[in-house]
Amino acid sequence: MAEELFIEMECAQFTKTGQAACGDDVRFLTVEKENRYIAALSDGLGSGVKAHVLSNMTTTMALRFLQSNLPTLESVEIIMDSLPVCEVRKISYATFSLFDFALGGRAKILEMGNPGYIHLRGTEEVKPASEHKVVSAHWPDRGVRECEAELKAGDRIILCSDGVTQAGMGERSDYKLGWRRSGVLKYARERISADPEISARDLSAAIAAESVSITYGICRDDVTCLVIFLRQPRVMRILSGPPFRPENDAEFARQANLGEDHVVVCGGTTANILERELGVSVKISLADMRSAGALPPVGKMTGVGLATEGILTLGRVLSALEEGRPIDREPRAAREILSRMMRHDRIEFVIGTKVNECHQDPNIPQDLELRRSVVRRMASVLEKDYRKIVKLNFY
Amino acid sequence: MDKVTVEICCGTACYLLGAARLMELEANLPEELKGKVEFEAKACLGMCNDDRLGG
Ligand code: FES
Repeated sequence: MAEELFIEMECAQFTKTGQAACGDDVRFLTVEKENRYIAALSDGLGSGVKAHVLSNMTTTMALRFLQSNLPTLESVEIIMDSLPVCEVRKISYATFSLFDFALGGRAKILEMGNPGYIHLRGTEEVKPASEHKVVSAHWPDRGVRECEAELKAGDRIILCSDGVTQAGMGERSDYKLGWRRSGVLKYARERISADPEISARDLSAAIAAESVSITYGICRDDVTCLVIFLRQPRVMRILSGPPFRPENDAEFARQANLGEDHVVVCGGTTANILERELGVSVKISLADMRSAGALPPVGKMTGVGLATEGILTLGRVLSALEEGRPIDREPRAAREILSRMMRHDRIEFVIGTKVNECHQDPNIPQDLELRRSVVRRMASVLEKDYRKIVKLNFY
Repeated sequence: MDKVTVEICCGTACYLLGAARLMELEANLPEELKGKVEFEAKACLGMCNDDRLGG
């Protein structure tokens, strides 16, 4: 089972209204050879740039210490000792929640000053398997709560900054104490019962948005919600390019059998191979043609999936991934591919390596990169920055 | 008279060489042709790889 599990870690964040920088910070780390997943959320004291620096320092140190298995007490002391102390309040630091999980073992969760984590199995809350306090002699009043959680496939862990749980506090009579952890819990359960398969990405976004809506769209504090979801990987496949040897066309085309929402066919020649081998056809509607934006339009391949143009579209997707551009402003074809990528955990590229000779035509007013190198770069950014499992198959 | 169907290629080569502009044709049809022409978008028509057509 261990191999079949995918750990989806996603976070949604809003910056306090009027501030240039977010005072909360979230970082993820996957240590592949240990099958280990680490996440850190920190809330810097106050807001704005100073808080931003504090929380960034905290998450950076925390990830490093966790990864190198430094004892909890020692890590926490180093973190608190190295953060500057606030003149007025005489307290330093940023609060934090840390999550450390190696497949097959228990998850360790460390919290200082942040709202307590929520562990859900379906809609049932799961209590920690063990729990104790770690107190440093340097900082006697700042205890760290150390918990162990037994995680199973389908479980979710929710971590929030207090901007989420305190939403509405002192502002709305119906939220005197804020939304509170119990409010987040109740809301998360509702969302999960409405959509039992809801992704970490969608759930974190929903919780963060709900908390902001309590304060009528104005963030009184930085709002951060991080969700970790253990699930069977969702697989998508991208087919592009004619195989180097035409005799492999049939096998190449068969890779498109994965269900419509999960397959994208990039490239006209590729689409033609599928039409020939599988007897399907591409439909591009005129409306799509007009609304395509800066890329050639998308089509629908009956029974197979989405069909787009090839190298221009892939190049656009690559640059959006590398630069972290918002998906909803991309031209239609790139948007469709990007949003599918975000919805899936494992992305399999099925790539034909034949060079399209007409792309080398000197009349074409643009340098067209080789498909193979675009895809290689895409694979590495998806693994590194988007924590996807990527498989490359060349034909 | 039967309608004439015009296929516009949306493949990479054609798109870069100006097919994108052809999409605007429909909106700019002269009066006398309105209602007589139909447009269809197509994936690469294979002509870009055909030497006889000047490649
Ligand atoms: S791209 Fe138009 S014919 Fe090939």
